[in-house]
Amino acid sequence: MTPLFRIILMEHIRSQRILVELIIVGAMAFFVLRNLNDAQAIHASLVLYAFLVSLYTTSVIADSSEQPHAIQRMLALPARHLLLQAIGTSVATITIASYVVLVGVGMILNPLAMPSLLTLLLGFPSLLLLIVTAILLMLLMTPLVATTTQRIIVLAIITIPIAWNIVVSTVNLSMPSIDGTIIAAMTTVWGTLLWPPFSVYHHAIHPDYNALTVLFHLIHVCILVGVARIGRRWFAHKSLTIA
Amino acid sequence: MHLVRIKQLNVVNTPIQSVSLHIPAHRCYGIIGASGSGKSTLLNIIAGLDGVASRHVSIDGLPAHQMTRQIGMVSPRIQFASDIRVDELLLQHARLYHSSNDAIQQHLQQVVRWCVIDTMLQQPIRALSIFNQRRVAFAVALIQQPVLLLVDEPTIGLTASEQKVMIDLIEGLRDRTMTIVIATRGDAPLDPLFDMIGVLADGRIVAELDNSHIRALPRTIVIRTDGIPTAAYEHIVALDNGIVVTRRNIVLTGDGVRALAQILQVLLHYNVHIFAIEPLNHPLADLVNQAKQPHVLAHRYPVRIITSPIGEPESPQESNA
Repeated sequence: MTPLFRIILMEHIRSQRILVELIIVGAMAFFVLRNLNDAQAIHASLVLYAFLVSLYTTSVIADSSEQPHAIQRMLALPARHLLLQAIGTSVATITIASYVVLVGVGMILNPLAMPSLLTLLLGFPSLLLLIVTAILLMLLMTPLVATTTQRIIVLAIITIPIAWNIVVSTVNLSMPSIDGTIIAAMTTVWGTLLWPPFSVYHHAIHPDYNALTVLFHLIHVCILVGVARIGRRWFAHKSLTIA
Repeated sequence: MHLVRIKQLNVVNTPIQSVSLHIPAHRCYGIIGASGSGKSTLLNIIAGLDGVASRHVSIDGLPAHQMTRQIGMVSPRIQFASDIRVDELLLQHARLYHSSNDAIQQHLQQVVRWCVIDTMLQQPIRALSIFNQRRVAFAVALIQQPVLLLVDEPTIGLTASEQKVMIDLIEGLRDRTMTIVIATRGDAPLDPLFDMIGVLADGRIVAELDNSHIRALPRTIVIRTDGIPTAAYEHIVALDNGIVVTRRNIVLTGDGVRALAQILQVLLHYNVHIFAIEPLNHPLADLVNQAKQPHVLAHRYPVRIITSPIGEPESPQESNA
């Protein structure tokens, strides 16, 4: 997998698409790190930046991995899923590298407003978990891995909970109360799906470790393993075409 | 011994309806068919790229998706990054297959020699012509010395002279130990390469031709000269009915093609200057046209000639024997 990881990484660095990441890094440094004076706000912005950049980079690299020459490279792999591992590793590397660069720039530009190094280090495991979550979710929404139907399902699972308050209030207006109750109960199910990433995001900014948070992180890792297995299964059945 | 075995393959949302195919090892097999007949789809499936359908393809006794490292693929759609140098590209691909530097260097030297690309190693891909890019694509596909080489439309977009060089390149690969499968629409003179041909139409292989059939395909050849003396004219027309002689040209059709060697002897005897000997038709293109009536073609070249009867597959042990 290592040679493929290097190829993907070098291909992305040589492409024009990396300009987007570079521009965002510049914008973050200029508008956020230079101007904000609240350490928590800066930390929250950096974590959010890492989450969004990993979403973007995953979609870009997955898209370029769908090109015929990249699919041809896949023939060299002993197992198909190694391509997904290489993509994920590349995205995580790019995201973490740009995060570290931003932290470094922030320490130079606005050292007093930056969170302490200890806080950044303690929040890093949660940040890593958040990046992996973003990579996995985005991979499940790319044509490289999933079919159209599968992508719609993933998109629904993500968007319905976010828009649930609006949906529930609209449905409650037009349905008997009993149905409204059932739907309200379902929000818990939907909420359970999205709650972990939000909680991980919060923990990345406020890293206070205790038994409960460790347990929670373990549960989240278990969920991610399940999601990864689903992605691997979908990719194993995906039809790819060169010619 | 059959290297590739496909039995009653049906793939939804593709032209592939019921393809059964047995490709013998160390041969060059041509899959010919009209545009949209599913040739490229079939190559993708054989390459193990279709997650579901490829499981129904057996290569050397194993499912295709487990054999991808033994498969090389060349397609006109494979376009490499334009700013990368040829030697860098080859090195990248070699590292995917080989771990030791000695093995990498050894394989690189081999493919560079096979594909005659030693003069362009330092150039970026964007500086190469389509023809040279195609040769580099061959080198990339051959870097691991595949057991099976799948080639899609190798001569498309090339000039006549480039087509000849490309055919020579593939001819050179035929002498090695790999099995080659070439998909073509029949618009290029690839027929001398093939040991066997399967005609794809109606979502299945409707006819198969072996070596003797391919050599006997109807051809029309024209010999262009600077002028044919009367004595030579009389000599030539007496050879066969399928020979049409004009003041400067000789057209050979049907059995007349067999008299080519004799005609050349006659022309040399009379000191006639020969400008060109060229085909007037592509026999493969004629085959593709005939595939519009599959039952006629199937009657002339029945599938059972080459492949084992469907339903009686050879065991892997037999294949390996």
